[in-house]
Amino acid sequence: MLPDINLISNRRFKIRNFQEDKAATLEANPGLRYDGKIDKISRFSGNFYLTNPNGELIESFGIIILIPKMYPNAFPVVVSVNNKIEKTDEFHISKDGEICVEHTYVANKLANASLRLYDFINYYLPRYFSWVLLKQNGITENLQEWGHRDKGTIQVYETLLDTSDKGMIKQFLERYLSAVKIRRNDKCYCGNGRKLKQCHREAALFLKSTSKKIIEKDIALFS
Amino acid sequence: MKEKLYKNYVDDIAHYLRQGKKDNLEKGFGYGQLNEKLASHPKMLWSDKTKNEANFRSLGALNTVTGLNAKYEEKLGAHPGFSHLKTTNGSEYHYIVSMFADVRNSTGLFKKYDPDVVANICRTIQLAAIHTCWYFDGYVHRLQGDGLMVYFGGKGTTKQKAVDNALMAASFISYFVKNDLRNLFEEQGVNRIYTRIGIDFGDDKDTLWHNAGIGECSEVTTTSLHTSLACKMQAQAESNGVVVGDNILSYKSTHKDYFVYKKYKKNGDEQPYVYEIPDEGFRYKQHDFSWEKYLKNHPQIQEDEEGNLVFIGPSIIPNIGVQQNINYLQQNVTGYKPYLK
Repeated sequence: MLPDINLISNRRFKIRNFQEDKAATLEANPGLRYDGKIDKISRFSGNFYLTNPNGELIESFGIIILIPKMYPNAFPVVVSVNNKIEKTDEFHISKDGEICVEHTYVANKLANASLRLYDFINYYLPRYFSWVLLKQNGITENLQEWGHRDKGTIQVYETLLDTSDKGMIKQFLERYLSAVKIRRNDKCYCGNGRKLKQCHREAALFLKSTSKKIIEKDIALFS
Repeated sequence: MKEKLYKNYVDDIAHYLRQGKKDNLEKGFGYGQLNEKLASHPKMLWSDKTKNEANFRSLGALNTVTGLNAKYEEKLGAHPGFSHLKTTNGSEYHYIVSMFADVRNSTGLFKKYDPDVVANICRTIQLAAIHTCWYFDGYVHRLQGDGLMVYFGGKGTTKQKAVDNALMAASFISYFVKNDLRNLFEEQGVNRIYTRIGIDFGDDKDTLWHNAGIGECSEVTTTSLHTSLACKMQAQAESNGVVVGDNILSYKSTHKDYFVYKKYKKNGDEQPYVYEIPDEGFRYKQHDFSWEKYLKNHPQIQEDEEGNLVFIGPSIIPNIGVQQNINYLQQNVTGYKPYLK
């Protein structure tokens, strides 16, 4: 199973709406500015400061953050806007500078459960930029990453279902897609005969955040 | 595309300039007390230590010009070379280059912006100037309204280097305000802010360092005709101009073309000297300094097609912050996996 990501475990105050999220985000990130809304997309820009636990600056990174209109059920888009990180696959950045901090399906799950920008920045940006700095400095022994594109998606399914058996994953996805509802007492889609609640129910619930059309296309990855 | 040297400061100022007066904004954001608190105690973003350090580091390309790896250090007050004179009755003759830089025309901002926005704009410009001086080994002695008084040189620094550093710092500050901020103010229909800078060199025999004031209300400062003249010449400068004293020219003997003799204007009358003591035959001239020419002709600086300054030579200095925080960075990435769509 994929590790459970709890974005709000360290937050000690409530964020009830976008205005509160914005205020908390700007308070905690003095390098960022709120630029306003363009076509219903909220935009923040400026610098993210990676600091150590003593509050000392390690490095700053020029970024733009776009909050899609589905907020808070949307995963923010982070774009790198300076030359500190090469815009290559190696650093998980597209040619346009979009940073891929998380696998799409995990991002979908977080967005589905509602996601505040304050928490997103707190959780993902220190991790991603620490990853980059270690990589740039050749300290790669502890660095992990999802494979790029389809390879990463295969790895996500393998981790989710805790198997590398392609046939089993394919069967699971086919049965998941044909099920109208995820029922606790149904037979598990993996085919081992146990009830879903005793087997892969969490995995099935995880997939609910991603559209069935996309998952349908993924079946080809295991054929 | 090469980034603008002062991008961080420019972006912040552009952001502040887009703010209107609060009365003109829509009210009732719906976060009640939080909003009120923010309104009555606005946070002065420019004073954030991390932000300052990050902005300072963003000018790291200046290290190419200085050949030094300048580090961020908040310093203001007594010049370290003369701090031993603090609260004593001692004194010491020692040369110094004095620079007065003033940011002008900020009053017009009050027509369109609340004081907190004006403060953010003016302080950001001032900080860009301070940070630039730090790169050139300048010692910011005092902040005066929107301006600053800076010493260059001191013990262990040659007079030539001190003059070079002061001219470079003045050039970059003027460049920032003239080029990078040029359009921002016009776009918002606000009178353009500009700088005026005065620089002069006071030699060892002319510059006395001593304590001034009393107790806590005291500072180590200079008594020198040339410190006073730097201030006087600053008032003579054109918009975004730099005026220097004649002493500076003796350290730039091969580059006299950068300096144009300037008559001293007093009450509308032009006089040949900025200062004179007729009995002693002492007559002192001031000169306009062509800082744009100076920057363009610098061997390590070029201009790109868009008119931005580009530095020749190694520009990336290793970030020691990474090496010092490897364990923390590794802790951060534990279990983390980025992806690529």
